[in-house]
Amino acid sequence: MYRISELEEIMDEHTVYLVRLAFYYTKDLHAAEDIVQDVFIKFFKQNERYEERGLLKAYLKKVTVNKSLDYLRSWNYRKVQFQNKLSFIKIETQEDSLILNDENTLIGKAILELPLKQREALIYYYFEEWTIAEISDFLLIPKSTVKTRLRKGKELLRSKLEGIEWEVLLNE
Amino acid sequence: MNKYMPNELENLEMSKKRIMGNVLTKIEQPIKRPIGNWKAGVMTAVFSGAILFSIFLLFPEINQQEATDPKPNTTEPTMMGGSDIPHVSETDEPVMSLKDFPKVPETDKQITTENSKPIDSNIEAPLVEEPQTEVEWLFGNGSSTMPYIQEKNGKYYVNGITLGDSKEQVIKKLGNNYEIIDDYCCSDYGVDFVMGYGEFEISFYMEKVSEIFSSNIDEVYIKDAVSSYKGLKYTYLRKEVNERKASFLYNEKTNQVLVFKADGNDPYVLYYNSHYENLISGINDGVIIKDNK
Repeated sequence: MYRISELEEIMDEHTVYLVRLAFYYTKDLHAAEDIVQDVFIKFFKQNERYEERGLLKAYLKKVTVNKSLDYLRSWNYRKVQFQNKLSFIKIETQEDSLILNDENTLIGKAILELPLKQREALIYYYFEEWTIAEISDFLLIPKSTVKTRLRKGKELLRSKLEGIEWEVLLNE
Repeated sequence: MNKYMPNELENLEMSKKRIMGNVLTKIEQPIKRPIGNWKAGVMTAVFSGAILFSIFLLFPEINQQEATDPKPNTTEPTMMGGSDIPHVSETDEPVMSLKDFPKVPETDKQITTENSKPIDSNIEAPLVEEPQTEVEWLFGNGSSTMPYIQEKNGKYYVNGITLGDSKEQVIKKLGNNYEIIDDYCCSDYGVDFVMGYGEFEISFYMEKVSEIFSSNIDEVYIKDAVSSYKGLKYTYLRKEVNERKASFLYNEKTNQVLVFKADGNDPYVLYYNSHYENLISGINDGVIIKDNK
């Protein structure tokens, strides 16, 4: 079992990355924080030690993704989605419109709006710069499926980002 | 990576601090608790022992009386017959056995046998018709493009579909002219798939209808539907403009909610299973008022 001081070191190193990862699934920072918190508590309570840093990171990533998927299937998330359907289009402030004018922000937002399957493939491939084989191993899906999801994700993005020249969409 | 990072993720140092603080607090709590419990247990045992000892010292006659006047032990073997098997005496109340229960009349037995089906047969059995129930509320006639809505036994029905229906039941009622909307819209919504009949969409979760949604609804239709409903009604008002934005019909017995959203370009009807209090807890850009008592 890890000592608390060791856990603190591990959290210091991995928390930001794991929150980012959970956010790509949940699109909610508070939910992402809760998920990562649970991941570390679960990690501390289990007795297995990971001497190799790569194995430790892989374990934390996998648990974070699994918990994020659980969250997407939870009643709480369904309620949030329902409430979002009731919410209204907010009147954009000047500050909002300035932020939105930034093309990179638009691309980031468009990716987050993609369906989960395409979103995770695109994020791992372009943002995390994993290979198709790595994504395939991590998500436990065939390489051909990863390629299909990437292709469909780019098609969906192209329609969302009309007029924006993103190099990913230009290089076919 | 940083180039396209959403604004929420630009500075995660505060998140990191919160997470680390919460994790350490939660981990340290259970470690302290057993020590406290152990001490409390020992102290309780000592006090209990001391109290019992005091009682025996102060009231010795209780012990003496119990020793001279033993209670009859019903579990002891009787002396008669010398048998070791315990038995109930003739003066005791007779024990009721299964054969003593009133018998079911033959006619009732037959009815039960005919109506009941073995559990396994439910899986393969054709769709069971719902029992005839009294319709508590009915709006629309189903002939127009607007949905017809009913309330029966505390459940709402939109175009004859209610929460918990199976895919087969939906097809039986609405036909085969549907499309499965899978990848594009639903994976993020906690549903398995959506059956789309044009503007009318039915979400499934765990092979049951979990949400019913019908868009492009006429505002007059919504107004008339809400005003015709005699049950509990709530209005959702937007804070700034105090304008009606949605109406909730709510059945408090079954905690089911039917929502009519009247504003915007795409008014809709939405039927969702939720406790009303849970539903409104996250709404923070408006107020909900009760329309009737």
